[in-house]
Amino acid sequence: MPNEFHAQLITLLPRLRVQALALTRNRAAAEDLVQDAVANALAAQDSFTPGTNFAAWMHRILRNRFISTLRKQRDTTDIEDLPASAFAVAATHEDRLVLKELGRAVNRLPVDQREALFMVVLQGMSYEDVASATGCAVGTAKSRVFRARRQLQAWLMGEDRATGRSGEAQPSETDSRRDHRLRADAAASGA
Amino acid sequence: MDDDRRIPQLPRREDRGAPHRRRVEEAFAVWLEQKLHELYDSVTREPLPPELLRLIEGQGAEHEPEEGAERKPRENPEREPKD
Repeated sequence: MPNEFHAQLITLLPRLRVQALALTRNRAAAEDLVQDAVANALAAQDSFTPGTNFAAWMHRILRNRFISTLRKQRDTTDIEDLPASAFAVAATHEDRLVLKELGRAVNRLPVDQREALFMVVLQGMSYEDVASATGCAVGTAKSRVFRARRQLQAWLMGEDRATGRSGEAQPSETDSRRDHRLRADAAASGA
Repeated sequence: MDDDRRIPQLPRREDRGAPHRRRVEEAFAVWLEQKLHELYDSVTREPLPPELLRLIEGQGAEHEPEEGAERKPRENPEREPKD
């Protein structure tokens, strides 16, 4: 019968898998990352203080494991994946295109922005917890999420307003063409 | 409802003041949250790998990472990795 630590870990696993995907952008690498992080956490469970924030503690371990692995592998896994199961349930072809476009744009974000965005938007973490999990100031966590949203907005809505670091990828011609279509859709919907 | 499936419309060029920009940003943030959930929530619904559950339940010691040095019981994995 699992103890409380194990129960918390199992409950958190689905979210850890998404967060691992945010870090690696690759399904196989994400699964490996989660497994390694879980092994690390199990080995260090005595260092966790019951009653403190387990999710933030576990996300720190996941992140550190990612950094550690990255230093060893040096981008040997550079195949970007999007969750195919999402496209299977998308209602229309148009929905699938929008999701794919968004997924590609998300994958183009700097990893620190994507990580913070996922933590806040998908995991429902507070900026304080994001700061704690990623070892940055609360203001930095807010800034990362803000810049991620602004950059995605710029790419997806065709605004030429890069907000990230210099040297970031710029929208391609394909993106621009799709922007036009998305804007037309938005206008048609009266949004 | 199709409305939530579409990217929010930009304000017209002549409307692009700070309040309008803020409204668009807020609308985009709502849309983005919906779409990110649509895109990634499917991952959270996937069944957990059995080997991972076995590992957690203490029946999978053979699945530990190969880099044994990083699995020392008393090492704190929360600490930022050193260069």
